[in-house]
Amino acid sequence: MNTIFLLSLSVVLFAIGGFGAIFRKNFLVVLMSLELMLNSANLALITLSQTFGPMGVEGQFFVLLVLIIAASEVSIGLALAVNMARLKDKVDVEEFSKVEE
Amino acid sequence: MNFVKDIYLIQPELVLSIGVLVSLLVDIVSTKSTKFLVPIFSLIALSITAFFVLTNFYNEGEAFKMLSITSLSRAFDIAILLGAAITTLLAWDREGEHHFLVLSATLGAMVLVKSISFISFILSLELFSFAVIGQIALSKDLAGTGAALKFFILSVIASSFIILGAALLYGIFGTFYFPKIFLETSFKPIFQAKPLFFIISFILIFVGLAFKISAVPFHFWTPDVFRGAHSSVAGFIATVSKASAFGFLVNFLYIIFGNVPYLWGEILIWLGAITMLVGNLAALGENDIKRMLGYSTIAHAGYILVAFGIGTDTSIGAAIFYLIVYTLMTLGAFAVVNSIGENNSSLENYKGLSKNNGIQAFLLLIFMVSLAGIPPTAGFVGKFYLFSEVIKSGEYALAIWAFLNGVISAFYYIRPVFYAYGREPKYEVKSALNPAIMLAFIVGFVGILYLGLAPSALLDFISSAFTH
Repeated sequence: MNTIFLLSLSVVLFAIGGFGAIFRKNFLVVLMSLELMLNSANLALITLSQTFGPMGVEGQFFVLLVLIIAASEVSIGLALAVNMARLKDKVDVEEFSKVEE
Repeated sequence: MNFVKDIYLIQPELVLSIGVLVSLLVDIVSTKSTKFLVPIFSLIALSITAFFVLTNFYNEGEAFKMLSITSLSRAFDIAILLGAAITTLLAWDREGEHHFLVLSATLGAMVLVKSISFISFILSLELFSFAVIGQIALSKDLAGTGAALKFFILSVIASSFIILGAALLYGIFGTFYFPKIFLETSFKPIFQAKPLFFIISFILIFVGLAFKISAVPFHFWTPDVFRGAHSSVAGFIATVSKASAFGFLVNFLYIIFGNVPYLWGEILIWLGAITMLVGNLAALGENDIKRMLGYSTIAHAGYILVAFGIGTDTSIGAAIFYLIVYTLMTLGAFAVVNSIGENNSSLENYKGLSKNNGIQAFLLLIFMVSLAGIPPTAGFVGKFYLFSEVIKSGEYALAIWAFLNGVISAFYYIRPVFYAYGREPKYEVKSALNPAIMLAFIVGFVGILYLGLAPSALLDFISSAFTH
């Protein structure tokens, strides 16, 4: 019942995040989409850990680890964004993806 | 209780993690005139770790319910440490942070190879990929930032695929610990319990790993990132990243999916066959040597994937041998690129190289001949063992397919050599030859010729990992 609903919600969020990460041009929006992907996986973990009752501590512990990873990912992403802004005055992914000269 | 025993098992990793921390200190202490101390310290840390790996080669066991230390994983460690040491030589003049990042990425790779729990797997994977992103982004020009951006976005997407896959597997079995999953799958056929979850999670995790290996549908990032990154970083991604992902693949496929071998054997063989063709065909039309080497790593990943798909002990041994040979020759080729100059990677600059830069032209010849797999070099021996494993398993069509791919690859490997010896120089190329690059050249050259003429010592050593 609720498990299926929450799992499908997390899959939908994951898909939205994936599309955003690939197709959006502004790097800050891309970062938000990547966060969405990681956190939808967190939602799935929380949901599934509920089904094991008190044995599900391991899953909740894993969520904390994923949160740490997401935080460090954002800090690296923002450092990259600063570098982009220095070079081109805007944080547009398209500007940087053409490597050919 | 078993704490001391577990610590004893992971000595090399502990030594390396101390090295990581101390290298930061060395970086802070060293001034402009003593900057060379950082890479020297980094080499010392890597060689002490290698010493511990070799002395503990036959100590097997499980540590902290997270890492499974086997001789096989130690063999992967040797390939990883070799790659890290040579890339340190190539990056001799870079900032001190670079060497810190190389050491942390190496630590991540070594832990990744031994992970038997999703917890240690995800953490070491992120340690590795974040350190690599840092290495790419240290070249702060347009190309370097673009490459870092691409690698960053795609590696985070890949790891979120892996995390979602791990979450679904957790939903079936209630654990992140691989051996327990193996136990559960051996009791009741999983295809009765929750087949859809199981297959989806396999696909999700495999997509994430395929990105690391740059297997076919997820290979498109490789040439772009290689073009923008410093040649030492490109070499690091090409060798260490592959070695660690393949090392983890052994744990992942043999433990979690050990009871359903036919699910993955065929998939890996098909994927490898397509990967080698795509890599080789795309490399044919490439006019930039860094991008060409990027496609060539895709092709080599295909050969190794096929060996994993066959999945016997001897074929995995052949794959490890090939991985070590591949590390030597790819990093040798990147050392040539490095000494010709980071911004001179267009093949136009390689025309008439033998006139002014005789040493580089000769070494380019050796490394390209080895990459193409032509006899007196180690590349030939590696391919020979790999293909004979394919034939032994009865897949004759696959062996012919792989051989034809080797023939195609010879065309694009010989082209820079032909340019270097057969054409008049078009541009004046100022090459740099510092002692570090000379050392990298010597290691690559001697290693390739030695393994090409007398491979049995290393082969016996690798097979002792299975039979001791």
